[in-house]
Amino acid sequence: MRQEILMPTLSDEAEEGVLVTWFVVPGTPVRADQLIAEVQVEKVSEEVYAPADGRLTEILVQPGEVVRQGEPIGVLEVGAPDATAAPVTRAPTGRSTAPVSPSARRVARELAVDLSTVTGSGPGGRIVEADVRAAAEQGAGQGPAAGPAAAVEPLSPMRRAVATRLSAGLREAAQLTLTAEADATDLVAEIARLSGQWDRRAGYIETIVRACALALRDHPRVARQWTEEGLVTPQSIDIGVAVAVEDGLIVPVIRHADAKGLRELSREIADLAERARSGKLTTPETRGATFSVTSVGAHRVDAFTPLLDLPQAAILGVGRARLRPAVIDGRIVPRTLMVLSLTIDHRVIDGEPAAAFLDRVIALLENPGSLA
Amino acid sequence: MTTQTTDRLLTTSKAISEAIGQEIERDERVFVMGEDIGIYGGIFGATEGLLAKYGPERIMDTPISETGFIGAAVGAAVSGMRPIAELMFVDFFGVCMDQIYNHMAKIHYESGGNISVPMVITSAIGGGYGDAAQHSQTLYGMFAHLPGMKIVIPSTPYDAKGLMIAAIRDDNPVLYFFHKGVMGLGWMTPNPRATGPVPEAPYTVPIGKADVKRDGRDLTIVTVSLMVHRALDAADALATEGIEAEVVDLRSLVPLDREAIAESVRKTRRLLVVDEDYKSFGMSGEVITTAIEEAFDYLDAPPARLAFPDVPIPYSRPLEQFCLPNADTIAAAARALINA
Repeated sequence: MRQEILMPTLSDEAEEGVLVTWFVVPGTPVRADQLIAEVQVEKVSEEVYAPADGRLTEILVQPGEVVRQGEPIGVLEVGAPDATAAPVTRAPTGRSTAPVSPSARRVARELAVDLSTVTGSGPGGRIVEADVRAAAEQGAGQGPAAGPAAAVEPLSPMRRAVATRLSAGLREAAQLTLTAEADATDLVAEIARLSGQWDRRAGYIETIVRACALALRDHPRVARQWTEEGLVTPQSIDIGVAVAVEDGLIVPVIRHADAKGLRELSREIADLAERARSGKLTTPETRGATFSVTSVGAHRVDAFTPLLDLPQAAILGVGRARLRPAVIDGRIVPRTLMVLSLTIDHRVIDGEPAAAFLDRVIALLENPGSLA
Repeated sequence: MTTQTTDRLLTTSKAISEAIGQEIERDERVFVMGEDIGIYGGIFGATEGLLAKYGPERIMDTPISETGFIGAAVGAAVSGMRPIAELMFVDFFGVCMDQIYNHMAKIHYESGGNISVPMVITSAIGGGYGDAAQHSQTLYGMFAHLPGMKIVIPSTPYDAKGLMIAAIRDDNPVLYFFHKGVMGLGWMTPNPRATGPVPEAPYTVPIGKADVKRDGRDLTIVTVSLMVHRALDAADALATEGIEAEVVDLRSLVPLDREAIAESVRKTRRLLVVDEDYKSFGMSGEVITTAIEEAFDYLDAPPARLAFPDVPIPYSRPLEQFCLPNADTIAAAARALINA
């Protein structure tokens, strides 16, 4: 019996994903629940398991190809694994398995086109010369006209996801960024105190997430979301924390952030960040944030304009904390100051309530005792 | 494309007999022998009118004895004459093959180059008119397999005359195959492409030079003889769909114009060989191999071939027509090569 193996539905928002790799060569017997493929939707990869015993007879989607969720990616001939099945010749690895015509290979060589970036229009998806020339022309349009051909790096699924979401946000939302300075002197002391008290180092990030969560309780309108039907107020305070990963960005979500203490937040953020970097997050763990925090404080960046990931209407950017001259009671004194950059969707929130929210966040950070 | 220099039209059969006549007048060593080539004028008209004009000394009817008269032609050739011997149907080669491939084809080599065999064997090839398994074959691939003979197969009246004169003047043995369907005979299915412009003055068409009968950019159809006409018909149909087929008429199988094959494939990236000869071990395989050897890096698709299946040619008209490539099946094969 033929059974199609479907692209799993990993996301309600993204319709398309990318098949990352097959772990089974066509013709090979497989057992139920055997790992057979890895797919990626937006920033998260997921493993696909054989739905039954049988033999993988056909691969419908090649590694690197885009496929819609719910569409077949392969065909399983269901039945007891056949031990006498013909031995399978393993295709050479490290190369695209899409057929490439000799002419296409030659022209790809001449024009320095990476064949793995070319979609074939020929029979069976074969890449023919015209495909390579089209790809070369497209590339040439983007790069400098003269000089040696620039190396083209294929777009990773994550790159595409970041590009799609952030561009969409800029196109659709009316983004406005407010910046304000927070005096983090007392916060630094509190973080040092907590580090001594915990079995781990405390950091700015949990204090900022905590401050945002508490401020959102008082200013729920900041978390409202734009829909064509009207403004939707989320039922819980779920805060996304941006994590830089190898050539990308991933934003896991802390659920009910306002109900969690600093220590719990610290642990959870560290765990999510670690799993984000090792690619082990599941899609649900990156979905549904109602507000986000992103920090570039580790670098020499003071202020910036964070971009919204719709439908979130606000995101807080954290700059570096640095000793700077401050004026207190008419005297210049060194203080640890930090610039916070709040980007809002002006369709949803106006400037004044956004400023009031930012005020509240800063007030909480400047009185670390209130974060406990 | 061949440059045409006249508006005078001839059928292929008349072009051939004109060429032979002009060479008979030009060179006293030239004569013709064969079955029914005199009074009857050749059963496919290749020697029509020659007996009346040049007499029985130059135009000799022979008994039904292919071994005898082809052997005699070989003897005449090595003795300094330039005979033309007509093997009525190529299918009859079996009775005289020893004379052809052990003597005619090898004497020059075995004599260390001291003896030339300047003769022409003409023979009718091809089917399509219900003449069954022993009178319908093309078999040029089999002869082309054997070294020592040149092989020409014209498809047009112009090429027929030029190649005949070139064959007669060549110091090597030349097999000159004419397809019954290109001769322009009244009793065959009418073929408008069998009539064409032929200059009156003698001229030669170089042996071993293919001719692009139609320019195209999307695929190359390499073929020969009557299948050139079929391929041109197919190309006309394909053009209405936006597919521009280039039709290469090999004209000679030996020497094979490999550069012309490679050049066209380099241009179009796709090759279809159409062959009325049997599919396996023949011309289609040789042409495809040439494309792979000479133009592999220019192919966008595996070369394809449409040839006569490896079965005896059926007498039944529907079965024979089913086996023979035609304009529709060629067009379908071309589409498959581009889209399938």
